[in-house]
Amino acid sequence: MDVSYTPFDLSIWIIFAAFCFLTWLIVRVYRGKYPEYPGKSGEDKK
Amino acid sequence: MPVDVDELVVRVADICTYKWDMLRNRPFAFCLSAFAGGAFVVFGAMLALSVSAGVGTNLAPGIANLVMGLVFAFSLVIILFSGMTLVTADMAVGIIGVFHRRINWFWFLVGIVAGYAGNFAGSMFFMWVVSKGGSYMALPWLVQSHAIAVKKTGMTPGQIFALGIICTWTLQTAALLYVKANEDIAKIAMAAYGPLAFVAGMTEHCIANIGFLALPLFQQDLFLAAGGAAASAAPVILHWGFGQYGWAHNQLYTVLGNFIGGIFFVGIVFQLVSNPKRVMALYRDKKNFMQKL
Repeated sequence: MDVSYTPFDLSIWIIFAAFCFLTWLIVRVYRGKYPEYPGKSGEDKK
Repeated sequence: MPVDVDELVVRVADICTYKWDMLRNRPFAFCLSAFAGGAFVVFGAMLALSVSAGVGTNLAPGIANLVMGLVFAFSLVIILFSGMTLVTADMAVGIIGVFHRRINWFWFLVGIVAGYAGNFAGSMFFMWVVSKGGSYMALPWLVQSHAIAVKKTGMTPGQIFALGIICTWTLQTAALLYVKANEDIAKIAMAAYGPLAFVAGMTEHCIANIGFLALPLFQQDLFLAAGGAAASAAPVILHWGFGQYGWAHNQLYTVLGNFIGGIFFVGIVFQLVSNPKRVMALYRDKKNFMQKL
């Protein structure tokens, strides 16, 4: 099996990018579904 | 009785607020806590190396893993009880903080980068000190630390990545269950399970690996001079770079895997399992939004 020991392994970077996008999407959908969540502390601190 | 998952995510969000408040308002204290956390992790790596040198694989292939895991187990206990910073724990804590609007994405990333930098410094410095310790200059320990590094850096990117995911999946599950527990004994048991599982399970943790891989690199000249290459089953020259048997090769794919394990399979799972309506009810009666570990 041909294995490359490179820092730019395309399949892993694609999986990682997909994970980042999915994480962002889940948070966005969750906030869309529960706009008042979690309640009185619900402000992003800048 | 341990709290339920709804109360758990609120507690974790409170811990997130405390940690990121320290980062914003007391950055030196945060960096110092990350430095200490990195060192605490490799206390376990040093002990694991110490007890596993010379354990024969003809006895049973998994025995060395078991004894390494047993002595490594208390690393997370001392980190969590002391309230120090471990970047992989902050991955799970931070994503729950994002759900609870305690921090935004920018600060989440700043916390992860700062935590990693501090952990890196602590882990590297502690192992540099260990490399100067006479006990670890004897051949059985030189050979064992070299063999551990060869195994970890010799794997393909995909193999390291998969073990990185498994590592934080087990470790951060234990860290969140530590928060869930109320009694000290239960907290100790939960926190000890994480490192036991990830070390005995032969997985890859970025901060542990900083030290695990740095020590044989610091001692490589000694290893070669002592005839370690002849005694070792795998006489390989290690290096700091990205190629096979390189420190950076292992570190890169371990970090990527750790991200997914801690954030996706622990932080997000616990958050989505919690009942949002019940969590919002808990917030209505809430007075304090900050909790130390």
